[in-house]
Amino acid sequence: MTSPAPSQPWHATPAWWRALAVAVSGFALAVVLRRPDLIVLTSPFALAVAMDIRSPRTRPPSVSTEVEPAMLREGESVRVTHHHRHDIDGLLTLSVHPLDPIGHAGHVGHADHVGHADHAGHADHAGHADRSVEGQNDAHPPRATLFTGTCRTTMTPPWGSHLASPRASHCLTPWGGWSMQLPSPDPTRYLVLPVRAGSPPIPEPRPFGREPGPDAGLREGEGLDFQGLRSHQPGEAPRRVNWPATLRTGRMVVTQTYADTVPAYLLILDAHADPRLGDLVRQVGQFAAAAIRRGGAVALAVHGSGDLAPIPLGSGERHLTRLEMTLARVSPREAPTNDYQHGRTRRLALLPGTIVLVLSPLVDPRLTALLTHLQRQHMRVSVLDTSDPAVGPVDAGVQVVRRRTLQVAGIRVSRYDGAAALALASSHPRWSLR
Amino acid sequence: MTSLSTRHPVAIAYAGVSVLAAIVQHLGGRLSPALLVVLVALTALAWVNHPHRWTTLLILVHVRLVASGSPGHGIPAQAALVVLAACLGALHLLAPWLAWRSYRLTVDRRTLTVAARPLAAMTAFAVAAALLTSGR
Repeated sequence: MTSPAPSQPWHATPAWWRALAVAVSGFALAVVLRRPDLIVLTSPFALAVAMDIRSPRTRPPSVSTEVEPAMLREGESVRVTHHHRHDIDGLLTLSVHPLDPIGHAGHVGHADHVGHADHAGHADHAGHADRSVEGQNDAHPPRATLFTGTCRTTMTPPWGSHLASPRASHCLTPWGGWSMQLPSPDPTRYLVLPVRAGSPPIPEPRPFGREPGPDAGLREGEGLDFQGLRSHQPGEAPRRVNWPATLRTGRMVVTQTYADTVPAYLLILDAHADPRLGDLVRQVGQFAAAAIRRGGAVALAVHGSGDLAPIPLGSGERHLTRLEMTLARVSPREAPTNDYQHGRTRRLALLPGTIVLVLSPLVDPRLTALLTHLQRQHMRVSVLDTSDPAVGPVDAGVQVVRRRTLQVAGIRVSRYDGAAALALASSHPRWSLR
Repeated sequence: MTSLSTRHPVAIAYAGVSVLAAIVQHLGGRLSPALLVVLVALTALAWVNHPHRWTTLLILVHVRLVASGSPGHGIPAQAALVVLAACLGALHLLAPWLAWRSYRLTVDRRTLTVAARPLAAMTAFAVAAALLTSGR
């Protein structure tokens, strides 16, 4: 990506005007006081004025940015290279902010600056964060990395959509009389997917201590997977009769099986600005990965981000990557921008009995209407309330009303209290085979 | 190449050159303790505030101090004048570096080389002016 060339980039600096003022005043004093030695004192400034009497005709240098790789996973390193050619006879400096996130946690990294071929070197640079969702790095404002020539930065950024671009570049003539402020080039965007596994704070979706069992997304029906035995009901096909059990018990017993369908989930994540949004995204990604690995199908909708289209049900590694790419593009929003998202989410092709898991602080009342609609469509909706328990009494009252509204509609609402809450919500006893 | 992550290298150089200019003034017999305080204050202001504005005032004070005294005679006086001129030229060139902005300059070898050339030319020009004005 190359920076555009401004039409009139050079402008006189205060240094040139200072040199002019000192030279003029020095010569005036020399003439008035008849002191030729004052000319010696002010002669350097006269030279500086003379050397920069004309504007430079040099074109502004081109700046390029390369990111390798363009998509990575949290914990992996990305290499950002900024480069400009030394085709200008002057002092040229580019300022680079190594991480320009849409809004996530801090990172660690280092920069390797390689200058001209005759003065190659390096300097370590401690990473930092710009805007932090967690609010941990606000005390440390971003510090620019300065370089001339080539700047290679290796970072391990958190999940999210990041921008890599020199913020500003500045050229100065050797005599300091003219300067040029280059506009920042178009940023190069790269995507960091949420961590998928191996992070101790993020447990598996199935809570600890719970025996492995049938997936809550499985439904009763025609299939081969054995579920249990139950009494025969009039009208049932004779081929479902379990004859050994019937002979043993003396009454008609049939075999109950799981339907030959995949467990289906619709995950709805509220992108409302929340200190825990970073962890929520990771946990949703973990849950989706675990569900897909068990053969399930997962759909995803991000509430509050109008630019993120809902992802329909799907399975497989490519679908999981698609889900994670959507999650990585989540940016916290103070106000929802999803005027069209609810309609798109309603039109998602879902299976009857799909488990709908919602992580939301229930701030937006429009979400209540969507969830009620999904519940009426025979989905199994469960809401995890991620709101801060320490909110003011008015907000708490409003949220209680919204919770009650959902509960009246038959939607289960529970408070989000950690990673295991997601798994618990997906395996509610009422959802076991009906 | 070293990244200029702080302003200390250039600021220290600026303060050093300013002190050298004050010493030259003092050796010339033109600097009283009160004026020394004024120059130190101007240097500090140029360091932490708007470098261009305060450096201009600092240089003009130096010129005014020389103009207020009697002209020196002989090679030592001319040499002191050339050294003072070189110091003022260095202050002039270093002032943009003091600006604590996003585009402040690095201190790599190429940048230093490019910046040193004008300083050498300024000194040579001051020497030539001293030779011309002394009538030699």
